[in-house]
Amino acid sequence: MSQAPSETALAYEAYRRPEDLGAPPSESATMVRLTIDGKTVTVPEGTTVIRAAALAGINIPKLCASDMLEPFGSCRLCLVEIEGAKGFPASCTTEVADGMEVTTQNPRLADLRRNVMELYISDHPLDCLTCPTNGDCELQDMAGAVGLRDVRYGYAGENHLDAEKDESNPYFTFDPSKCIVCSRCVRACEEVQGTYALTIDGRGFESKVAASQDQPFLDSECVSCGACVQACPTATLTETSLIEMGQPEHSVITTCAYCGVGCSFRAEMKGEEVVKMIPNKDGHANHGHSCVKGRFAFGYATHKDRITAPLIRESIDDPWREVSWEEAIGFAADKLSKIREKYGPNSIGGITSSRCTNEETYLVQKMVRSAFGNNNVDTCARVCHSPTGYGLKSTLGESAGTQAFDSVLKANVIMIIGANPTVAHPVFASQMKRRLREGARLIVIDPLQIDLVRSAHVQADCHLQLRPGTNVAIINALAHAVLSEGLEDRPYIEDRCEPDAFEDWRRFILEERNSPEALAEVTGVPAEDVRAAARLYAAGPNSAIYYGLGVSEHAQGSTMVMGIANLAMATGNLGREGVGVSPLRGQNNVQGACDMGSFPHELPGYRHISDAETRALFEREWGVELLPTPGFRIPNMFDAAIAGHFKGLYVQGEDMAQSDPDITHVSDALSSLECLIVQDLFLNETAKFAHVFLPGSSFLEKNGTFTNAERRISPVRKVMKPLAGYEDWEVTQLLANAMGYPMSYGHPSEIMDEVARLTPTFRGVSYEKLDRLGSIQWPCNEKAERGTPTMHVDTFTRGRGLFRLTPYVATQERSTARYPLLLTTGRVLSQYNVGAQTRRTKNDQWHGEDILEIHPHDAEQRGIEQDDWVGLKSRAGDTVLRADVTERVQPGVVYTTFHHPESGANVVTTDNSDWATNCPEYKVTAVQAYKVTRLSDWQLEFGDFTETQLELLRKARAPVSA
Amino acid sequence: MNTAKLVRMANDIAANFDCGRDRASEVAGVVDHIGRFWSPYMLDAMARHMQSGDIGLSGLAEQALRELIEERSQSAETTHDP
Repeated sequence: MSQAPSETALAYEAYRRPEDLGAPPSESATMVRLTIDGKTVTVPEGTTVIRAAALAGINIPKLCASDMLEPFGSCRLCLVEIEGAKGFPASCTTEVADGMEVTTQNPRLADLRRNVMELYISDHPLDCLTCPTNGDCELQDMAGAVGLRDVRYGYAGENHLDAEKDESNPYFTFDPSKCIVCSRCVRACEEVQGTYALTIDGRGFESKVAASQDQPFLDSECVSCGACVQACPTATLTETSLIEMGQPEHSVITTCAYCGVGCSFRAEMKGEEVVKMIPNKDGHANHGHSCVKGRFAFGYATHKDRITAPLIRESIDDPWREVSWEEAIGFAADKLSKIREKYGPNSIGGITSSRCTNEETYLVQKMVRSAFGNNNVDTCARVCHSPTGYGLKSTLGESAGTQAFDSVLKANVIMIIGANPTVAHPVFASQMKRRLREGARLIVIDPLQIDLVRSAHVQADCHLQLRPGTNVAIINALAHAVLSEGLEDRPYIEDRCEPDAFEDWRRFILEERNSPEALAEVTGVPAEDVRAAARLYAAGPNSAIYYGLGVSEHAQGSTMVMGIANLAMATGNLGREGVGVSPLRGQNNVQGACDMGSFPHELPGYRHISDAETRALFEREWGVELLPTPGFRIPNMFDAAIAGHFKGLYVQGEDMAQSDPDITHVSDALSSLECLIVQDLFLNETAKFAHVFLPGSSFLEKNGTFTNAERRISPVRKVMKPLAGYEDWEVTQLLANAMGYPMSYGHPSEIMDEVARLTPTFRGVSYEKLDRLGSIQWPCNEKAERGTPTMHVDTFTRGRGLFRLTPYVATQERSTARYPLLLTTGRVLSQYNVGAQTRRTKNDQWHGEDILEIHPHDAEQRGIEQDDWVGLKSRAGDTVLRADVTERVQPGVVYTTFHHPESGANVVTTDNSDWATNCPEYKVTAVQAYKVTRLSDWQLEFGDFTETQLELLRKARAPVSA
Repeated sequence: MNTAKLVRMANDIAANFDCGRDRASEVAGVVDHIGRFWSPYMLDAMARHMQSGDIGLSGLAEQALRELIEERSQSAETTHDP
């Protein structure tokens, strides 16, 4: 008897508009009971009627109301009747009361609503069938809901139907003819994003949405976060991709592959094509908000530059040859094995990527430690947050930030050090700005006038505009002020910290050399300003420190991190919500890459390689003997390569030839390798020195997890097939097997299961739990089944907190007669890191080249005017950039970004680095600037080399003649 | 290996432990730090360099490195390095 085959499939979620309860939740603990249409409803005090009704499953018609925005009450569609109340109150602005009796529907309400809709529709185009939001339009739905059948006024009267479209923004279209002036876009720009770029211009019939001074969107202050587009209930603000493609049919929840905020997104799909990325309202890091990169800049995944077949060549002067996966993997394994045989076991290594998943980085370090047989594995965190790992581990006991992002909503004082959240971590910046508008005080410690020092409805109480390179002096001065004025939290210190170390630190900090007065000359910050900031921070009651690469990328990066931890411990600002020490991580998975054992001295979970017990655990699971001594860090690999002892390198998803400092040195090192294997989406700068190119897969093409700056592990889900056939972890597995070390994972979940088996802080993590909870903050184990939002609650991870001494040692990079200016580097909002992704999107319209910011005083001295070509020279090298003369930088300081390889910012940066971790000192380089008329020699050579390499790539793709 | 760079690294490490206080604990700090983070290859190169005349190390860095190298050679005598 034959049986019908059963239909089985793991179903995607069908596309639907996310539920909107019409008003944000109330935080009140007091509950209120009311009846709505005869149904009893119990909700927190302060809840509005519209939300209470929605919670009970009664969806009152609405247009201007949204649970992402504060109640507004303008559309008059949500009106209801309330027993004993006069008239027809708007349910979106009316708060519930005990015993309230609400009626949401009767003939009177129906008439009123229909009349309101009739007025709206009398001035609205009736092109629903060809409208981009057809099928997903709230106005259309409401017209249907209220039963509008006729518009008695006709359509011939004065109207806005001919209003002109604004298509200046590459990602969304503004069609004012469809606007109902509900103000949702304006409110989203204010309340959700905090930019205040949009306003309602004019009054009455003349009212219209305007960007800045009624400018095109692209020229306005709009930061293109898309919150307005998401908020719009009509087709007035619409994603251009939706206009082109039509409505999505299914959606998949996944995690953004840009910055360390790690926003959760719904990838809204048609087949394997992404129509749009919509921030997930249930996303625990972003709560339904996003930035221009995450929401819009995903086009790189299908860019024509993607390489989708493996390539090999004997020498970097040879043309590439497109080959099968089998041949490429065999070629790579053979090369590495031969190098190992010839030059010894220490001559090869690998680099993991913060742009790849946890599972992928774990597998690379496993392959290096087992198949390669050494500990020569490192990761790009080396050049960004390695000092965070070192500094926080040694003082608090764990190499991670202490808080959840939501903690900022309970902070009274926010101290931002060396970070520019509005451009580098925009979604968290919006949350921070919200708290600042609620009244939190703000201290900014930065050589630059970052946006948060003064922007719409935000004004820093203190801006300590220190000289680049004097962070440790400032943190010591702040600590001195706290201790000398008796502002420390003695009971906290006695209860939670090591007493001898505190005493030692106290004596050290109180030395006169650490006083704000003594250090004012070094830092350039008046002592009284430092003392004012110290008093504000110590007063709290909840004071939170957020810091970025302006802390870590210094010669004393690790010292500064320890200084920050000292200050937080001394004032009792660790171990609860609203306080803490939070590094703002650069790339999406920096935290994860570090957690997964990417550093040469430690195994997953930050356990030192010399620890025999930990090693034994891994040796049993992996079936190999592990070396007990640290391997090479990235700069050590480069030095050993130049010395001729290090010959083979496997690089997954990194681009050291653009991102690392002193590029000339990096290029020399890469050219010295006999086998460089690069696995990436594009032929990046590093790949131009490679012998094997293995095509990588974007975050849309694979399964895995990312861990954000708040230790939150979030799922990455495959929404399309890998363009080249394999997910990145599969490629590593192929290489390990070819090297003679067997791996046979069938799915990344099996890799995570192995991590959980071997790592105490991940013990309770599984894909099943991630599916159930959405995301998990580690530690997640028997003690914290659902994860840990706030760390060090009762005790520090290391037991008692350890105050470490932080002597200020001036950097060797200081201004001299030859190099009188200090260069500091950073980022812009629209570009991401080396720009390999964002340069291949329309984000390039905002930042098509890297610019040198120079103060008017320094510019004038050098005869430099706006947009002039400026030569920039340090002891490492020189390059040429275009000038932006601006007071955003202080006199004596110049600033640029490194998003474009040809600008050569890292030709100028030096090999100076953090004493503890060798994290490069990107933030301080002594330079001279001068007017020029042509590109630098390096740039000309770079141009030639790039052209040659692209030609060698074109040859791989050219048809082979018979 | 570029020993000038190793010397600079060691001096940087020593400078950050040098607080003008208890010398023994400062030396121990440098020994522990270099022991935890330098690959044996780098230590070997440093050991060779330190046999030369002008080694360019600060007092604290030199003292710590001599202790560390001594410690290693002792443990190498008693155990077999894989």
